[in-house]
Amino acid sequence: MVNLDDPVIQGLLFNLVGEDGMDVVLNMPEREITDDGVAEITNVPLNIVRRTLYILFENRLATYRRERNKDSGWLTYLWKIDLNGINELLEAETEKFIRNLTTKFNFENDNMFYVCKNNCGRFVFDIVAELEFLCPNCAEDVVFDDNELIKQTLKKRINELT
Amino acid sequence: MVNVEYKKVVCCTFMSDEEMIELIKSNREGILQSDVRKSLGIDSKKCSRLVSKLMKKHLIRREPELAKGRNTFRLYPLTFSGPSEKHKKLLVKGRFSPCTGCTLDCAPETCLLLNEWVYAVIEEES
Repeated sequence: MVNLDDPVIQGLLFNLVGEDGMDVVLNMPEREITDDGVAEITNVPLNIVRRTLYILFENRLATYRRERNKDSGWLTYLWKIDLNGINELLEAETEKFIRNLTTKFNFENDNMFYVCKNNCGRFVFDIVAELEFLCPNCAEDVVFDDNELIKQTLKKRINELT
Repeated sequence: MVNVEYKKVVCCTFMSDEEMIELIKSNREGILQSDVRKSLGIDSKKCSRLVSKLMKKHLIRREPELAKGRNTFRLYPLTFSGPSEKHKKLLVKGRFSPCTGCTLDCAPETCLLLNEWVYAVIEEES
């Protein structure tokens, strides 16, 4: 049984389905239900309910069954939430995040950074060197930005996630 | 004729997958991979493929064991008891990994959301 009060689970689901989608996830009954039924129970607009259910389905957190009405020939989609695949999803998201953090770490490691005194942004050496160490936005002087702490933090977090 | 046989094979593969996880789940104390193979009536090659697939999905785990003088594995079901310590590291100051659910063009080097997340880690640890 997945604990929906867990902050990690909530964070994962929130990033996937958003704030309105969370109302759907938290209030969805365990039995099979139509998207109209979910909208009625949760008071969430039907388009958001459908969007949420599709996102959950794409991530293998919901299933559906089609039922055809013999008289009208219409198809009814009966949805059911199934969070048993959440561990697999967490693992996949962790792996993806490690990859991105590693890319960021390599970028930080291979470059020198400079910041504008007016907080216009952070620039790599090549850009500011061409402009005689002036900010590309406001032409103010740029100063060297020591990224040792960023590198250390990234390395530590990558190790903790691995 | 070809189509019918193809359907048969697909159906059979799917059934073994489902059956295997059910069989392992019903043996909390673990079950030998060789016994699983015999119970499902599949060959060892297919069995080890299915085991690898289920392990990749984090549905089962296996431990090496010597049974009747032969090396095999004992398979155990995995139940989700909540996020591990590792997964908790995805969350910083109430902010989950910004890469989850992100639909922007992926450029981790210059991503503002990723930057914010890294600065939140620095703030949390300082």
